[in-house]
Amino acid sequence: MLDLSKLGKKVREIREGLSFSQEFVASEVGITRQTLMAIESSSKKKLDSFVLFKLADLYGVSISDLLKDEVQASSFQDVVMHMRKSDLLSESEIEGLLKFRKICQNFDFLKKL
Amino acid sequence: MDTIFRQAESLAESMRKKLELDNAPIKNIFSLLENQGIMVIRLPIKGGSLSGAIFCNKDDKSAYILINSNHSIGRQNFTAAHEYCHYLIDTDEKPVIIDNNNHKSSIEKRADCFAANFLMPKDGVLNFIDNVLAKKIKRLEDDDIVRIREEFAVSWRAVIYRLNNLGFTFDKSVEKKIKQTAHFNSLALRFGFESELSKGGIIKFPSVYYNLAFSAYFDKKISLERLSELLLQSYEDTKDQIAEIKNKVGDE
Repeated sequence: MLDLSKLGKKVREIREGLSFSQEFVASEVGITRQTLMAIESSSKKKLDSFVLFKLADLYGVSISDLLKDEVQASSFQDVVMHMRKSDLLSESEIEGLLKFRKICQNFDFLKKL
Repeated sequence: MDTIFRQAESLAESMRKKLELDNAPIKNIFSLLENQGIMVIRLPIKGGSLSGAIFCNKDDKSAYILINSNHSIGRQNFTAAHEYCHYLIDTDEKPVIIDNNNHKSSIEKRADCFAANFLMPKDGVLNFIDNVLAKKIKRLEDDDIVRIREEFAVSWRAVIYRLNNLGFTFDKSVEKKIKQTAHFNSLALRFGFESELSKGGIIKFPSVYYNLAFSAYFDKKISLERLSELLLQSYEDTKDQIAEIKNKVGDE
């Protein structure tokens, strides 16, 4: 059974770690800010799996990372988050890096087909 | 610091030997890296300070390099060589390295030194100046700098620092010379060379990525939509590419 209470907290932690605003994430994922707030506060009873997929995609993590008990974020994301926190990267640079990470994951996907 | 630079020089020299490059300039560093199994991904990234990154997957030992294609070609080449140094000696300890220009630690300085030596080997540069430019003195003119830069395909900044490092002098100090990019760009155009201006970033993946993606599509393992997503382009553009491929195959 999916534990949405932990999921909400994780989604918020990752978003804050990347210094993304709720407005930005909601707009990228295609939901309202209110919906994102509800997801993060775990007051949503159901979660559209497509939204989950898009969140994982935006944050550069796998869906299983979002669903695990502990955030075993990829080390790539750790480095990006650390640099963002130290103000070493702009938002567009973070986006570029996450796109790069996504392409690396696409490579893995293609190699396994 | 001296040790760092000596390490970088000797690594660059040994890699050039291993790759049988002699003293010749490197024609295409992206292909060179791909031939060694390093995937180079070029993406346009706004912001200015992020030049590149390297990510090594410890599980399957795959390595990926990101190059900011909003930078000039010369700078992209330099970044590629810089990341290559990280791949060779830094990624065992640090599988993820993100290079923005605000961050100049000793491993970054070592990677810069490696890139300079790898792309502009000392003997290669000296031979070019001696034999091709027929220059016998240590003072170089701007025309010389333009021709050397064109030969070794790096940025103005990289070539000026390298020449200075090899004992050459100019009409002004190094700090003043590296600010003369507009002047050098227009000189290059007069020579009929490409200027160092960025052409606006392209998106470019390694050829193996395109091969895998298109094969997956033609083997019906992925849809056209998924293929477009993988190539970071529109459905229409991908459809056109597929049609072109089918026409070419049809012609053969």
